[in-house]
Amino acid sequence: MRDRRADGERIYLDHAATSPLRDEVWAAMQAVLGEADFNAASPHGFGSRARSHLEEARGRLAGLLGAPVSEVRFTAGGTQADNLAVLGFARAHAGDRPTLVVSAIEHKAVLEAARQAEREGAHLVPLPVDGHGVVRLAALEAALDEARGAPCLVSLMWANNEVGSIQPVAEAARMTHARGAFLHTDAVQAFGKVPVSREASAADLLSVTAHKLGGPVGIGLLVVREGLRLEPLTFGGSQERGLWPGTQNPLAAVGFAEAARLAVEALPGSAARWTELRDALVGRLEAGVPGVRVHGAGAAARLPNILSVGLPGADAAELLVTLDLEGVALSAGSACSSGSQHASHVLEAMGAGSGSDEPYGVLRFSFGPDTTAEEVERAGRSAARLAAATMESAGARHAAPAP
Amino acid sequence: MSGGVDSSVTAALLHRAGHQVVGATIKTFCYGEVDGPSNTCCGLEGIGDAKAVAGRLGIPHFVFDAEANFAEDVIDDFVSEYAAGRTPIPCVRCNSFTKFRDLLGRADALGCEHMATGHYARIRRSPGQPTLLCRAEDDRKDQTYFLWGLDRAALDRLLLPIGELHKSRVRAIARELELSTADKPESFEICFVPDNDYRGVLRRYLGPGHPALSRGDVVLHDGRVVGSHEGYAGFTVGQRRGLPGGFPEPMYVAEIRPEARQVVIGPREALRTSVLRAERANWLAEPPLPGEEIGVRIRHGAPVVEAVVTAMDGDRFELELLAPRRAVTPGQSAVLYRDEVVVGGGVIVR
Repeated sequence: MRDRRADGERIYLDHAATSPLRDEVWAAMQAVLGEADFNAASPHGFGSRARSHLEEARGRLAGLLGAPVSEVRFTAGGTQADNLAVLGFARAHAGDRPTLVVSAIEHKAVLEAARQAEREGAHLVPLPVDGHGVVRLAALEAALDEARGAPCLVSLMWANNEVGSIQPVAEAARMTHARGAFLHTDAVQAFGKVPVSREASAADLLSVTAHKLGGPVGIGLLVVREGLRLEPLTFGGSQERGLWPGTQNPLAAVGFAEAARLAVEALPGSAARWTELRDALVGRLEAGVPGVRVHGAGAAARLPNILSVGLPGADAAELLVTLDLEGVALSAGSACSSGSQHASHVLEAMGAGSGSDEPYGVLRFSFGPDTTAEEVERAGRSAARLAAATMESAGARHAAPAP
Repeated sequence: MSGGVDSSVTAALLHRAGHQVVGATIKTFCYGEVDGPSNTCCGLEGIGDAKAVAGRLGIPHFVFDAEANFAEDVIDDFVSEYAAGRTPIPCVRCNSFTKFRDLLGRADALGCEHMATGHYARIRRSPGQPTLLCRAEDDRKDQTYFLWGLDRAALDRLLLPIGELHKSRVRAIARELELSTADKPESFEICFVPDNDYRGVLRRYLGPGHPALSRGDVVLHDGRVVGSHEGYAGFTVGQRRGLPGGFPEPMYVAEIRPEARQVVIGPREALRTSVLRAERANWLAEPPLPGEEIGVRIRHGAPVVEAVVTAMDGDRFELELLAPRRAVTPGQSAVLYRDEVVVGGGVIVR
């Protein structure tokens, strides 16, 4: 196996896309090889052993999330958990024309699932956010009043994946429940970075995934409140109480639980360390790049490990590539496999951007458990230098008349 | 790197020759946006193939989003040319603007000295002489027909290594290197025209009621109406398919008259012409002089034939073909050659 830590030249600050598998997680998974890599639904001893690892992992995750173990459903990832929550709710209530109230800055896994539900007859109400990327609760109140009488699900993420703004989930849940509606929260980015508790938030549905925590890609979970009706999206088995049929993945579940334990136990120290790194990085960028803007800086609370900055006049595509060639891996907002550089729906909803035809480059730095101050310092220096260079060249291109 | 075998081998050869290679794929079009919610652009197969090859070679690879400029430079022109009754070649404009201007600009920003592509064409450099674009070693694969619109200054930066090779050799190299794209079939589709349904694309951009997509008359040269058609944009000069029958000899499209919505048909002989006019000329070598004998290609894959330059006027030129040709098609390119050297070209007006 290639040791990624031997590669000291490269700096990885894109943990919000995927945080690479932690050594401890890999060790925990290796320790159960030969036991957890069987079919947990099989009736023989091999199956039972795998099942016991799966259930143990479920129990540990439930504990870390403050949710009853009976309400934890494993899925194949965060997108699948979000889809199951939103579309699964809409389909389960299809006969009563359900309402979905969805914040404008949700991950596409929620937004696109809600749009699909709309095509299938659900009523979709978008929730606006303020300039810091925080949902406007007054709008939620109005949306809930509008939906009164129909089954209604509010989907509000715990923290935004692009700018890190933390949402008032507990308050939204209180308002939602007061009107007999339900609340889903996508806690994919928040879990392990800030305290996330299903119990404290009172969310009815809560999505989490492993690979943002240094766990394996391909496993996530949805907490589903007892009694809340969801339709499964896939068919062919009764696993996960029929909500996510298909062979379960006990080996990944063990890794998931271990990654979650490490992340949660490191709080609040890790968060304090990230906050320091983030603030130092902001200082460096503000000193080196004219006009740099920090997205979500005014939010009441932000994820400590994500920093999104706007660079008026810079070309993000060019900047990301030149940074990568220098060994600094960042993203422009969210990871899209095709490298699409469309304006992000999150920044649009926040009203952030150049407000004109001028290019507006966005860089998202996101830290992981082993990110060092020196790495952040070097990345900040490279980013400041290359951003200034690309602003110059983009400015020249922008000023040139069209051929 | 399109994900095809030619650009894969190009990258491999340069990497093997010791160049520091950065792979780039341009995303020109997003099917997802027109075809509904599936957002298939994020799964564009070519990008994955290019990433796989780059990974195998151990070179960095990036995807550049060129959608906005591509729509303006290539798709808009494609649509308006069809609306004007011509038969455009979007690949020419994609090369002129998207690849050898915009992508070259990206290469500049990365500090790259050269840009290489998997085109079958050759670059000839001689000391003290301007760089020239020449026909490929493999004449059947030659792609210079699509490359006449490049900015001449770009030639100095270009590397076209597989232009020196035969396609069979290119595939053999790909297999030697165990590139996943070695046996990928050739693509003949226009990237933004799914399933070759270009009329579908026109409907989307022009609206279904546009004159180019509406019923009109099929007429003979003397104006006699002999049938009807469902939109002149469905026809190209020289086409035989889709025309009314009942004539003593096979009939072909001889002309499209967009203002009258007429498709003019005639027998094979009526298509022959010896005069060719072109506009939007671009020169990659010394421009021809009136009276000069020169080679010309009027369709991709057609032979280079002899002609005499009869007029040069700004960005327009006129040729007399020594042997009259059938189907000189407005919108296609006329590409001029002095032996192997690409002199330049223009868009055929008639």
